[in-house]
Amino acid sequence: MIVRAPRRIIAETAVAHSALLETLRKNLPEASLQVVDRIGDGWGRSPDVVEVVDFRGKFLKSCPGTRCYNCCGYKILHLGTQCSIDCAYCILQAYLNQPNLRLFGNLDEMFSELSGFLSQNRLGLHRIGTGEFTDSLLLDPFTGITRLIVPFFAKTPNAVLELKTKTNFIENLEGLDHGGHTIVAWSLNPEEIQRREEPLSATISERLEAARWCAAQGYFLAFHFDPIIDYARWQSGYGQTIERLFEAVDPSRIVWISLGALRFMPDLKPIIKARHPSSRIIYGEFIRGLDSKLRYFRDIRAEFYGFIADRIRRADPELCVYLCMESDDIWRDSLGFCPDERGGLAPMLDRAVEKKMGIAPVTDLGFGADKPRASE
Amino acid sequence: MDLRFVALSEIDLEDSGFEVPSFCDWSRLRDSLGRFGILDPVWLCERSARYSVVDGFKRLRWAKENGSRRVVCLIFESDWAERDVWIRRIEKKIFEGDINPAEKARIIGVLAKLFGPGQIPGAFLSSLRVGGRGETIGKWVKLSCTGSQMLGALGGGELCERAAIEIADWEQTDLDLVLSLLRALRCSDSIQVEIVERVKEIAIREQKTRAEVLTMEAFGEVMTSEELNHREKTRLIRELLAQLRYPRLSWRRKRFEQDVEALGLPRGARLVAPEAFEGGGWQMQLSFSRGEELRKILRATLPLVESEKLEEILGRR
Ligand code: SF4
Repeated sequence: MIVRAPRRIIAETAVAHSALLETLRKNLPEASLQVVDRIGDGWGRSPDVVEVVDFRGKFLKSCPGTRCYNCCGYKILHLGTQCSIDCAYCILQAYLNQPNLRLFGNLDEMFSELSGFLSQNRLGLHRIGTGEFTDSLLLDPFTGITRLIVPFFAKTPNAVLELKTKTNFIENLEGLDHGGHTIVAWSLNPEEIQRREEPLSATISERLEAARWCAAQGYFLAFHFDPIIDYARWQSGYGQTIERLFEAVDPSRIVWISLGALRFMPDLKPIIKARHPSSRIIYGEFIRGLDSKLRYFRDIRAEFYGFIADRIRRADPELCVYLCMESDDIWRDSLGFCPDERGGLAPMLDRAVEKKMGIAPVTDLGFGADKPRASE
Repeated sequence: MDLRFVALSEIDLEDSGFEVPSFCDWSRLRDSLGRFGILDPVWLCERSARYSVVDGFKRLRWAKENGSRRVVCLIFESDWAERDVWIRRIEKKIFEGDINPAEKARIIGVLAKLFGPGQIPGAFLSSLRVGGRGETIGKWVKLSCTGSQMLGALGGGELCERAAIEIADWEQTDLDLVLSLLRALRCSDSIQVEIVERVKEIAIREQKTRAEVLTMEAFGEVMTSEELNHREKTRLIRELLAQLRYPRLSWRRKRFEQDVEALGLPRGARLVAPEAFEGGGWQMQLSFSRGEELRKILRATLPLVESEKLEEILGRR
């Protein structure tokens, strides 16, 4: 995959002297810099622009699950928005008022919020990921954020970091003290879908090659068959990708594999139609789900999940496979059980972390630390 | 501009360059002209030896049919640029109100020529209730070039505006087929849009041409039936399109109906699947009017509920 270097940096005054901007300037010597008081919305889309803003919201958010479907209890670390990989199905296309790559320059505040959260929540296990509102590694060659964040997580007793990407921009991960607390995750699809719907991303071979390299560096891995897309040859397509996955990496390094069929808010349909006129993904057999998103009719989803889970189990019957945002009946139909029968989805994933990474949820902080004293 | 009487012989009644055809019945106007004559001056412009009509095509047609020799006209002299005449013509049309979709298409087509599709002044677009997006304007422009069959259906109210916009860029064969289907069905605007969208999406999904979808045998059987009225035809066509667009869901629905029938629930008991079989919200509905009736329904229902058949129905795929 070719790194597309931004040619123009627009930064807000408040972060004009931030370490992030300095790193960007160093790594993008050709890029012009414009400093403005405030970057508003609607500056017009340009893949060449990267905006660096002083982020005033919460850096740490809960995964936007809904009550109708099982949610994994994941936390999102919000480091920036938008992505220039421009997958046909990407939800970020709906954020029309902020179309450009945007980074949060006040990383010191991000780290202090993260430290604050972890010190106030010393029990349990925190699974935290960065790839929700952007690709985790897309701009890493220029920002070097992983060089700060990966060692940070290495020192946390009960948190793991998941970097989700469709790139192979892993150079910065080399030689980092990750302490076995970082999972590098790739979203996977058949080659045909990658070429058609994610053409600017790394190829499946590049992703698997990158995963193999990360495993060799001692990183743990995860994979997400998400979004699974219905097309005529889906069985052979997904079957082949799974075969290639297990040829490329040792299943013992894989903490989990998630499965999620394509789903999107109805408002995204006309946007996809206009921006990706040759894509056929919106013409699938969609129904309106309980969360109002368009989802494939449940029998189609159950068939995808059953097939893919079966192929994964053939390679490693013990591997943690979970469904992203699905109801109990789909779980039972495709995987043969529902999360509640195994204590819930979040504990299932915690157990996968404990088993593969050796990081157990903290259940007791020791005498007096979290219990009321007798005199209180 | 000058107001004067002009003899009909001085007017080129064949020149329709400025015409904005409405394609609709004008008997009400005829009626008024018959009673009161021409109340509003006709607009003409000096372009060649004879005057060209700018506004008042119907009034002049009436005048000719009724043997009038001269009519009162507002004249745009030869130094008026065609563009300026058009702008005034459109402005007048907008302020008269009641522009039908066929007229709207023609007006947008002209505006796109005068200003360029992306540069049409917002005041015109908002008065015409057209979004300023290039894609929408492009579709209206295409619509303006579709020919009298399509514009006639649009002006005559047989085809709604939203459906027309959807099909504006279809090939002529597809247009002809869908128009004859919609004309025969005489269905509501929302059903027209549904039909057009379904045909389009099925063609993309199945990698067929729209004409291939529209000429499927099953459609032909419905449309040529002499027993069915247009409402029944509409219902069957919609069902067929739904089956083609949602084959798996349709199959499951049909199977569910068959299974429930085979289960033999007593009268008064009804098994209801969740919407699109999504989630676990199945329902068993019991309707009764007396306690004894309920007890009877329950006694007959319980063994069926205990049977494996029920599990099969709930879990079938
Ligand atoms: S890689 Fe992810 S974030 Fe980027 S465009 Fe694709 S789906 Fe969106």
